[in-house]
Amino acid sequence: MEHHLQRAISAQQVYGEKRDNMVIPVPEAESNIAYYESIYPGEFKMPKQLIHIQPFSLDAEQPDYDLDSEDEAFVNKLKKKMDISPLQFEEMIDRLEKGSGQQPVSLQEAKLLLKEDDELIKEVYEYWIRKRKNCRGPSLIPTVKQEKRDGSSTNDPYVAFRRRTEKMQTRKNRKNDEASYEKMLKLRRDLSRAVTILEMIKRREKSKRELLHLTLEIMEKRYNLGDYNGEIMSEVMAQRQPMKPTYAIPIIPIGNSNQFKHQEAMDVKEFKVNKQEKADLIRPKRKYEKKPKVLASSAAAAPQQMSPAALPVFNAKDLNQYDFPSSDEDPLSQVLSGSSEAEEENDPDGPFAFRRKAGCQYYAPHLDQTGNWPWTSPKDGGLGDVRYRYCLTTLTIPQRCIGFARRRVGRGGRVLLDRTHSDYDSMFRQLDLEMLSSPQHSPINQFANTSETNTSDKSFSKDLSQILVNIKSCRWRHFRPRTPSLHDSDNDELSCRKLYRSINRTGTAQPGTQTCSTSTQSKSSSASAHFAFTAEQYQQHQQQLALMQKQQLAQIHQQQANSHSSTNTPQGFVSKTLDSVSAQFAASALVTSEQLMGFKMKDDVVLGIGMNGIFQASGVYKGLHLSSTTPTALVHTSPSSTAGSTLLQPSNITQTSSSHSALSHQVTAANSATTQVLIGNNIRLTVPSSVATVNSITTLNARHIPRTISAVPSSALKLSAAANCQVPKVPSSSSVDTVPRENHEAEKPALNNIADNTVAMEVT
Amino acid sequence: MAEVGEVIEGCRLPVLRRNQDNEDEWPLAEILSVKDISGRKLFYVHYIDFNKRLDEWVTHDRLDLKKIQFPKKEAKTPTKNGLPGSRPGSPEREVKRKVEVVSPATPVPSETAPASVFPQNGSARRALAAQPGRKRKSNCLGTDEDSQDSSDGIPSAPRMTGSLVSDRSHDDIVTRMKNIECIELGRHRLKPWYFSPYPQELTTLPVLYLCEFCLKYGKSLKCLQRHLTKCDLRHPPGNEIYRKGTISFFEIDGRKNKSYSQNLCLLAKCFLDHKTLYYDTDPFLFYVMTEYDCKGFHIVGYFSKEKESTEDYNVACILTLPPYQRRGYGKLLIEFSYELSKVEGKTGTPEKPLSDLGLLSYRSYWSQTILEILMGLKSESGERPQITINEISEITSIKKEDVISTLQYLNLINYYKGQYILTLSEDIVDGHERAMLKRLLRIDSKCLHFTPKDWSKRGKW
Repeated sequence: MEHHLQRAISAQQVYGEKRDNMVIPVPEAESNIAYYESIYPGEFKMPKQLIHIQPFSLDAEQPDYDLDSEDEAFVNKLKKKMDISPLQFEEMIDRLEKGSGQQPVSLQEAKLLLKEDDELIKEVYEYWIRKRKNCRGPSLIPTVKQEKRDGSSTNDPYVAFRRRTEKMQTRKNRKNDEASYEKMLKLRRDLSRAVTILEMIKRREKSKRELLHLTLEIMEKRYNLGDYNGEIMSEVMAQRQPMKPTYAIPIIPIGNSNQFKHQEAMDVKEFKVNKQEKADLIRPKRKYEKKPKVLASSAAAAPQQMSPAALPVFNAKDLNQYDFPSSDEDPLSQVLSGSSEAEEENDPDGPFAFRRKAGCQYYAPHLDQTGNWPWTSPKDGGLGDVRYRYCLTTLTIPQRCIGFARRRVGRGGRVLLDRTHSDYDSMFRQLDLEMLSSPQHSPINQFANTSETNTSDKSFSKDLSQILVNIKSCRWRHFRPRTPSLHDSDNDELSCRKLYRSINRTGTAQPGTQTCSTSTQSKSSSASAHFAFTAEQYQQHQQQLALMQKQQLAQIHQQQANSHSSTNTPQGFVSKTLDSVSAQFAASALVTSEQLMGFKMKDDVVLGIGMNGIFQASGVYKGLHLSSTTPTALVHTSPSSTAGSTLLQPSNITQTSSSHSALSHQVTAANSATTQVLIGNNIRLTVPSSVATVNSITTLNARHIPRTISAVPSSALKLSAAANCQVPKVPSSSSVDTVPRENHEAEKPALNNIADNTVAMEVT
Repeated sequence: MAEVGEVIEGCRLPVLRRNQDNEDEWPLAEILSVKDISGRKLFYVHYIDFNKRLDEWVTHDRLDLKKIQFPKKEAKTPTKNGLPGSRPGSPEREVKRKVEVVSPATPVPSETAPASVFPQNGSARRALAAQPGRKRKSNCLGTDEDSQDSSDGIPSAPRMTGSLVSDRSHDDIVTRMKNIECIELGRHRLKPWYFSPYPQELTTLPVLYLCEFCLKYGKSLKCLQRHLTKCDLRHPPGNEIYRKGTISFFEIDGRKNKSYSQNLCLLAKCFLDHKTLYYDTDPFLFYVMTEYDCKGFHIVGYFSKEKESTEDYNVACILTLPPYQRRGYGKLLIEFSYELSKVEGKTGTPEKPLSDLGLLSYRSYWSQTILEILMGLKSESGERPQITINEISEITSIKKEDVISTLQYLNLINYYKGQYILTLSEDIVDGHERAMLKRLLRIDSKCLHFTPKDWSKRGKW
């Protein structure tokens, strides 16, 4: 231990006894610099407030170099020749020093560095170079040695204030540091993604502008050529076909291909627009070559993006304008808006029509994932839980029977009643609870068991009594909440199955009738309905359709249409007994659905094309063979529907106004996975528009094709019923809302399409 | 009797030295360096068992050549085996070090190892067990450095926290010797105590001229004069956070005000042996104490502080400039550092190792502060007053360990019948009262305008 410290410590330990000679000696310091007063500037008044220094106020632009005596002599000497002040000299030296690295700057460089006259620069430069050579330090401005890059200065004691290059170990707040580091990384990723997206948007907008310009150019050229009917255009298009692949919208090689999918859609649409502008028809075959490609690519590009609701529903408005999707809109949403717009115009749902909400993102239903709901039939991937079968349901308040319904638990534990349509609905309403409660066992099998038997003119009263009998004999299950008299004891498998089947039948009865009714309704509906067809058909049938528009709905036409459709092939238009016009139209209607199915077969999703209302011809043809089951299905099922139809027949004419929406529904249903499903969709879609029509048609069908009854494939029936069950899962599409309306209350607009499932409760 | 020419590095002989009482003494000294200036030989001598700060250049007439001991050829065992002491490298060891760098077994020159003295019990023994003269903080990387040193000969960079090195093994002949003869600062001339890495070309000057406000160094009075025409600072370039009477404290951010911080460090290094300037000043705050007169705010002393200390340090380096020493400023600086800790709501301790002077000052401060509290305790309802170590620590912001060591050092704490008893003897009380009478400079916490910053959320580098 050091001598002095030892002494001091021992002195200190005897507290308070520290003597002066026990202090540790230090080198002496003088404190009487005589010239201090003269060299330091004068008075400095203490500010009243605490001194607060402004950041960066310290960086006064003063030269770091300080003139020494030698310099002073030089400057004084130089002053005689030229104009120079000490400060100016210092500034010059400062610049020269700071401009130099290991090697001093050259005179040429010095001249660039300094703003003084060349003469002065030369003098000062030479002086500086000389002085620097003699200088022992690396610079005339003495500075603390810096570390060397190569790390060789680790040991040099004169190197100080090295940079802390390594990141200091984070200790106490290591967790925070890591978390914030992660956040920064994520932020960086996100920002770079944003940059990519903006880049893509830029390219897209550029392409759109280019497209617009090109279209404009084409129009101008055509105008100049006098190509008013599009002949030149179509020729050119035909010539261009082989080169099509080169005519590609720039594809950004990013996984997300939303942008060009709609570019392609636009491409098609534009084409359509061009045609639309022409007064005359374009020869359709030209287009056949082009379209498949578009369809294939766009359908493949974004399968999930497509929505059934957005299939080709077109109106003149869409066609007559350049309807580019806006930049900030997803192509899908554009599609959806287009379709709902079209519907609104025709107003099928009135105030309950589906409207897109601003700021909402709408996704297409995942059709490939349908099912696995307990109420979905096993065929559609559901569990087909018997608990969810439809059964006759009676509400306690108000006390009345609402027909067939099934219960399930919805969100938040709500009990939802999904109602389905049956032809007895009108009768069910008349069912009195008192009647039900009285135990009476007089089963009438013929009515309850088979729908075949009740195909035609059953009187209402008889039906009712039969139903009652069925219910009471527990052949039909009847659900009445908390009614003591309800007896479920003999709830055996058989009765369940019977009921199930009969419901299925009643359900499936509609597809056939529906298709037919659609076709008949279409005749009388406005032209907008036609846009659901392919352009080819549109052209093919334009004249016929024009005729049809004028027609009023007539029973005879329906008959003919139905009978024809049962034997239908698209080519087989030549009717045996039918009025050819209506027959053709019926055929075209079928073709439409077949087309859709054809699309279905090609790809699950057809939305992008559907938007433009242009279907590929190939799609049509493919659809034909695929849809071969459709007519038969229609025929088969139709007889099973039934009673009460006669009552309603008169109303079918008044229902036609909404028929086009039925058509559009049918179209939108094109995404369903199988033909059967399609039929099922048709059922529920069209029922709301006019049950009466359905029924009347059904009746007719039944009359015309009684022989096919035996051939009804039960699987098909079940499937179609299952298709009904799917409905609740497609909430955003316009077809959703139909289920609750599958009853005779169609005329009551109280059904809300949004709250489709809960409505059943409210309606009562 | 040897000739002057035979006196070489490593020789030991009595050297004339005048002590503080102006008495001539002939303490044994070791020749560390010899230089020849215009035919006159000068010898750099280190007085054995004296602090390095008293090393000096002497002329041959102060050497007692009759008693010279020449260095032995072979390496010998250290004279004071295992005991930390004032041991500048003797030539043999120097040679040895040059050859095989530093082997851990070789005791390393370390003239000050105050920390080993500091706790009287336990720690001192630990110091013996540890490397002599190399007491270091528990988490210091010194051992690693040593092993690296002996293996590849390239010393690794020191740790990046803190401002002091306890490991002097990197000392070489350059840093072991003062390199600046004299520093002129304001109206004072200071004799540096230790090496400081001022630009090498300035080390040969008889006087280094510093601007007393911005601390910029210049080689001549002329340069200083020129500089003063351009420098308009009249106070340290920071925010004044305390002022009472003529005493002010300025806070300077080592990152925002680099040139001042570096100049301050260079100056401070002249008086702090263990201070390291290896790394930049970014992670430190500098609290500069000034005394005002009509010329401006003159620096008296300062302490630096890590913006974020992981080891509860509330002071990194602390220094009262020599002209102001022994006047209570050091204690004022220490008191201020604890005031800051009080505002922060933390306890703190100075970074180790403390220098001899630092140790004395701190121990004195701790003693006075704790005794002040103990004597202020009022007995409740006739019973003896009670206080816990933690309470003392919380009131004073002195770290618990320092409270305990001070109580032990003052021999106040006794274990008696199952509990600890603090006994204040008459001597202690009298001594304390006398000391407090002399302690006129105090920090007034009402004059402190300080808001601690959360440096973990700022860029402290």
